[in-house]
Amino acid sequence: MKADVTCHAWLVEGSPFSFHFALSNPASATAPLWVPRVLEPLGAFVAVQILDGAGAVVYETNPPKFTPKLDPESRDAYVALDPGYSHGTTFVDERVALAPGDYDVKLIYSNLYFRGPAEHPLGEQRCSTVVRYSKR
Amino acid sequence: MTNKEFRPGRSALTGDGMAPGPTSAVGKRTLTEALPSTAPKAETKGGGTAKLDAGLGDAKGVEAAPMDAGGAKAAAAARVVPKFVLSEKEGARSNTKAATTDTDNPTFTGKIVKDGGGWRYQLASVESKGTIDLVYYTADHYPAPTPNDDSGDLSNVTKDNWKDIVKDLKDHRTIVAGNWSSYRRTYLHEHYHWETEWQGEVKKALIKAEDEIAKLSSAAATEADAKAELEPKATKIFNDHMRAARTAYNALPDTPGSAPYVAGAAGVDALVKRVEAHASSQKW
Repeated sequence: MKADVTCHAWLVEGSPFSFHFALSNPASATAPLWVPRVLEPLGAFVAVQILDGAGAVVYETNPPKFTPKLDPESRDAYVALDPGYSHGTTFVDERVALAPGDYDVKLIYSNLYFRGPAEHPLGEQRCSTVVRYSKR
Repeated sequence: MTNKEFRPGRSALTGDGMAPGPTSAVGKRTLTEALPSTAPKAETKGGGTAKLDAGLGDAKGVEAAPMDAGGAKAAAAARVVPKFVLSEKEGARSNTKAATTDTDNPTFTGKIVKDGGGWRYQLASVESKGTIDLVYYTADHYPAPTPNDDSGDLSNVTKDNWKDIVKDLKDHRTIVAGNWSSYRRTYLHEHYHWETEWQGEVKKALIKAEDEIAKLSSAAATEADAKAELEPKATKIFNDHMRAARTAYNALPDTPGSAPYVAGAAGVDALVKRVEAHASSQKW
């Protein structure tokens, strides 16, 4: 079963580099959408790629190894989004150090091995979004 | 935050950070002794300055590439010993936030060396930094809540709950913890990523990178010209192999039941024994 999930992101002004990232269930959906309750750590479910004006990758997160506290086989590890609702969190990445200029910040989501409990399989979820970023 | 440096095989270091190559008798013994198996070696108490041997996982994986060139022989004779620098911190307790192990891309320094009538490039040092963020559950999830190494009083264990605690710990031995957990399981799990998995992949890739870099040669007139010619090539070789190391590391399974969870089970087993012994001594 392939779930339709949509990514949204907003950059947070100031330093260190921060952004709010949210997953949403489209308003046109006909059923609730389950997504992982905990979206951290950065680089795991949500990866960052920053591209310069020439399209070259100038920064990207490395996927960390992480030990979840919520069992991916458990319902507690998920949030059910009704159509039109979203679930997100704010990420802070202190490693980002960019020269002044214009960039595309690409946020890529995957539910990894969080494929839902046996009674509610989610399948693979993927989406991405790009936010324009001007570093002054 | 504390910084710790681990130099696997340090006791066998010769000269300024260079160790014998693995093709020599000494080198083979050194690697075998320093990196004996996949079994986790960090068996000291959480947060301590444990002796953290870096298992390569498979001793066969550290055999040098065929020595079919003078440069490769030179590389094998003077392997650079990578320096692994770990920052370990303990984040705020959380019953949802994960403990993590992050690894930075390894970096190197190199030098131009005279080789007969020409020049070669040789790695002088390699450094790899990592960060472990130990995020423990709230204290009510641990039979021995303080200190954070399972060694303290079993103050959360009672006559009424000890059997439940033991069952819960055993049921979740190699999967995500249930209602009860062990500090040591988290520590061992994350250190398995750092020592066995990451360091293992970096070391394997480094041998390949060194052998390849050692085959580079230049007939440039000056050392500066040779450096300008060889350093970019060496950098590309190094980065390509470290990228391969990361790809291999990322591909290692980290799902419940996999090797890092099994590594952490040693902490669970020790705690179960403590709880059982405590119940027995109390005649519960």
